[in-house]
Amino acid sequence: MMEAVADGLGMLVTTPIALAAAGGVAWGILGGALPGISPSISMALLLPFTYGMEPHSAIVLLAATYVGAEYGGSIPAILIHTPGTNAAAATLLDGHPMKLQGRGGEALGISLYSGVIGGFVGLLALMALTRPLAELALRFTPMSYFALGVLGLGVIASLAGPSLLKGLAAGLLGLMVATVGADPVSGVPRFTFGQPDLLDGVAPILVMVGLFAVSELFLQAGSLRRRTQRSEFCGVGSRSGGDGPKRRAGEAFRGAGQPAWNRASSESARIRWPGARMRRRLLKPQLIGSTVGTLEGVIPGAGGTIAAFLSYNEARRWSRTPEEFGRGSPEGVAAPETANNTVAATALVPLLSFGIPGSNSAAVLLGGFLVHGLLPGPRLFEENADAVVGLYAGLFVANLSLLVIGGAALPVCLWLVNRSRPLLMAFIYALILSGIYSINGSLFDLGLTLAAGMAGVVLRVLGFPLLPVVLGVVLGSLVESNYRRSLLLSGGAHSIFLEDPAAVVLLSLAALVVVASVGARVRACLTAERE
Amino acid sequence: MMWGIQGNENGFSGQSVVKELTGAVLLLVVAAGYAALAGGINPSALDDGVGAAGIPFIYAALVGALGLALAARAAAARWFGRAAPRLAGVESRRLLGAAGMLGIGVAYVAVVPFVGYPLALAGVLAGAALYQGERPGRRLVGVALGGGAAFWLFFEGFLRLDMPSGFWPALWGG
Repeated sequence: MMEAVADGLGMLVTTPIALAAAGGVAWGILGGALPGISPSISMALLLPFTYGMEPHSAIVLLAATYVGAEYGGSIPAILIHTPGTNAAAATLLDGHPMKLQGRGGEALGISLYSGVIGGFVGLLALMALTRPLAELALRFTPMSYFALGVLGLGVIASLAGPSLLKGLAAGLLGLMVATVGADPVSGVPRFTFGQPDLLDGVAPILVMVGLFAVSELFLQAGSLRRRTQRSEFCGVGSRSGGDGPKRRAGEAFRGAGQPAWNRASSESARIRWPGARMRRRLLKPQLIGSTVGTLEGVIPGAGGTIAAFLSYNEARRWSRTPEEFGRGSPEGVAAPETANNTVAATALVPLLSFGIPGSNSAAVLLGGFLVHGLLPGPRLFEENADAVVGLYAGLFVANLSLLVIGGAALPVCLWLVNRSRPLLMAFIYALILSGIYSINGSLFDLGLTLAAGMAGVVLRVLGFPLLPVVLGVVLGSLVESNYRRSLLLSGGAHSIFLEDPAAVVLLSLAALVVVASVGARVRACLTAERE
Repeated sequence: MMWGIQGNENGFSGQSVVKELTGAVLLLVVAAGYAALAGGINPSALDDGVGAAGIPFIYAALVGALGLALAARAAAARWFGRAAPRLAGVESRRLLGAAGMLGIGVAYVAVVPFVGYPLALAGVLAGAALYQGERPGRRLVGVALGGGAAFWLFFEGFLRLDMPSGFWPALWGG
């Protein structure tokens, strides 16, 4: 590990990754602070722009965006009772009561300080866990790789949504998309409809931006339009302010389309750092948050939201003053913020070790790797070790710069979110259209991204989770090519999968996860029925 | 009771039944269409035992099976009187709202080769903002044109990327 640290420090001097880390953090904070723009969407919006960048900086930019967004989400949670990200919903429980008590600046300071602590603990865990796991995966055969792909899809499909059937179906839909293009063995075109643009398959970056960013934008646009029409129908329509009832009506209208930032006073726009006594008090919830964040982060599909709520509950359970929770407890802010920033690093463990993204954000980061021809997984450490070291160094700088940028970005967040919501969404749409075109200068890519966005809307409306789709697209080639390679080795006998110990373990784990998931759902139904 | 049925604490709502059935039909249609297309994949002398269409047929069968399972689950929920299906109005409106944004994107793709990047993007900015409820007026026109120009300067001037130029070069004799 010490060697990696030394190499990483060297890269900080010789490459622009420090700049990329700071830029990513700033972008992430702004994205996280906008309710509805999740960390993965903030990253997906940047993804096309990383195409022309140097690979190390591009990957660091995306990873640092994740770090910044996890903190950014706590800003509206504390100031206006609207979580900017899902994970920040736990921060809201005590952060906003603190704001109402005139301690908004203190809550923001605790959030930022705990986020940085969590980020550093997560980075240490990432560095300690990734290499040994990757070395284990280096011994994998084609049979093991096939089994690994099945396990990854099984875990994500089981954990990513409330319905196992829909999770599995979503994963299969992704696998179907991955079959578009030339067949990996014979080179025969499949599902290309005579389009030369499809011979290389559907680029995962287009699917990711479409499913995560475009579908969210489309759905929010639909909701915003409905709310606006309702406001106008009720006689509320002025945006220009004015006097008396008209002005009040305008404010009500703003409230329908955007968060009520006017409730965030200038007092709360200044961060107050916790003093020595407070820092001692926060040690326990931070320890809980970083432990839970480490465990949850390495489990694919678990993610920052579960970690934030679990650590909040544990912090309350172990607190000397549990009665303060929900009424403005600093510990209630520290625990979830530490947890979700720990997850921002530890969620990369399955991605870097096995090439399996465990969350939406990790999936977008995987897109960043793929754009630059890098394939996360055990071979990355052999063939592109500097990319991993650069990522570690970048995350280190990202967490350090979060301390500075976190404070400086607050007024910008307040300004940005106070803009007209329809215009803001229109600019995000323009950014997506321009960014996707800039990758290959292809209008066909734009069409595919828009189609993926609309497909994402339909899937979300029908209750299908999106992460398994993306995972299917990314893992499709790995699953199919290793399955067929295995059968070539065995002369067509499927028993070869049972002769490989690693494949047996991984396939058994996949079956176990799916069976456990079914069992948990059956138990939940039985309990509900009894009650 | 129905095991594994997705629902809220109030049970399996009518809207959920429609949603589940729609999801099931979607899966079945996708599976059938995909299998039909897989059937059209040409065999090759270089094929292995599985063949280029082998895996697609497996995927189609699995998706079809999941579609049937989803349909059976929804039908059983209806059969056991968990809910009365009704039109999912909110979902339909969300889809329609999203379709409008898609239309703006498709229009952009169609016109950008002719009118050029800055002007087409200004159209997107104005159109998307208007569609979401921004009031029309000089301010919106100014923001849209300014935004289009700013994006153009960023991509062409700063990033040195070739964005669609449309008829403008012909106007300047280019």
